[in-house]
Amino acid sequence: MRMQHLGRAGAALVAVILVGGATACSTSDKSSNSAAAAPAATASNDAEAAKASKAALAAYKGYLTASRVASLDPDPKHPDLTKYVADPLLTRVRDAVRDLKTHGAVRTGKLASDPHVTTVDLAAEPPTVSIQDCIDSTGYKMVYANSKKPVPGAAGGRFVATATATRYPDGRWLISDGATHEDQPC
Amino acid sequence: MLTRRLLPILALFATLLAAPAAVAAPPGGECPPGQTDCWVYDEKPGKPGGGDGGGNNGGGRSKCYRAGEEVPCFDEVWGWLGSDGCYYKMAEPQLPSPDGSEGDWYTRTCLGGAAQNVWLTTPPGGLPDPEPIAQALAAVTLAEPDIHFKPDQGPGLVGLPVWLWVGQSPNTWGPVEASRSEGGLTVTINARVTGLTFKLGDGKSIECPTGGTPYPKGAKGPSPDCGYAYQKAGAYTITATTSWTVDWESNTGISGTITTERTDSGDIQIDELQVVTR
Repeated sequence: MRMQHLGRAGAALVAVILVGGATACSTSDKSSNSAAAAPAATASNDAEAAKASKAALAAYKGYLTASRVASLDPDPKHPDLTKYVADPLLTRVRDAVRDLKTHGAVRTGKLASDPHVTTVDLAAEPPTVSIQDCIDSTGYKMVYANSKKPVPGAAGGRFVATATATRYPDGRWLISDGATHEDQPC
Repeated sequence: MLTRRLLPILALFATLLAAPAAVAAPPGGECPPGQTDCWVYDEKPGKPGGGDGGGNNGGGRSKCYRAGEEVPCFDEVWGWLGSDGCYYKMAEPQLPSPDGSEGDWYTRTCLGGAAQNVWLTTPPGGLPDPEPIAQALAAVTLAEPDIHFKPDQGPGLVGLPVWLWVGQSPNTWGPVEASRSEGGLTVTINARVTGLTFKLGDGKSIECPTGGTPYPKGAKGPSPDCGYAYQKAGAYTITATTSWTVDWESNTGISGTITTERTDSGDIQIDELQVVTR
């Protein structure tokens, strides 16, 4: 499915994500910039890529905020989610939020995020932007709504997160895929 | 649910009653960004429902089973249970076709697996059938034709023009739209009349696809598009039949077209010309 989304540049894109993931989130701007700035890139291409990066990061921030709002409620069908998130990630997020609800839990506190763009692929059909983040959820607690006691086993931490922003036919950039890599501290 | 990945291909072989066993969580499972530790509750991976709204049954089917266990036919997050044991919903929002083929993007959630998008040229098997709902909706939405003819106050005359037409309101002529939701399944119909036949009661009938023209008071000649002249005196029953074309679509991604007819009738008396002139 991923390859289908990413199209021609898919293989290269996945490779970049893997490399970026391995080096954790030590703000690997050097390697990502060289990947984004393809040899034949023109000034207008750069401007387009910068615009796409900005829109994708805005969508990602919107996604994190919507995810937090929905997790605090918790409401798997929170209307803010569809403003920033697309399937299949939308369904996965709803699933996670519903799990909270089912167990009488909420997520509360501060979630730190430091996202940056690793790849812009405007030639892909649909166009995509890959984002890497170092999410710090140590201050973002999963607690029982009534007792405010922490849910056992939920520790939080600083982990690499990756996300894919996709441009939809109406021009919106939405976060369509993504994961927290809890085996990759940062 | 990302914690227990299942190769998508496995899902293809899953059947309703013999779904694959859940795969154990890999160490450091993947949750959506900002949803760290999302596996912490997973005592029964991939089990739908929980909370409210999980227990609705999809339209048309009363019980669904997977791996021998009764599961909801419709899940508010995952959609409908397909015949392969995976749940399907229309992907939100839709992307263009990846290869130019006709179809839809579905988001598929299999037992113990993470949601994935799949492009399907035909809807997944096992989803509830929206057509009976479309038919029921058409039955209450589409009215019989609003039949009119002139003369209708007193008898007409042999060989003289009879004007025939039908009133054109949304429910008698269309276009008309209606929708109904049952257990997560929403069906919308869009209906219009695509044919009108008048049976004149003397063995003849005429087609009036335009619906005919209402008789303007004092008009002399024949109707421009839907007229008749009886050749024999007598009492006739005029029957109007509207043929409806009903396009329906459902939020399962399935759509179709059904046709149906509505009729109504009225009586007309035709006298010999000399009866009046006498």
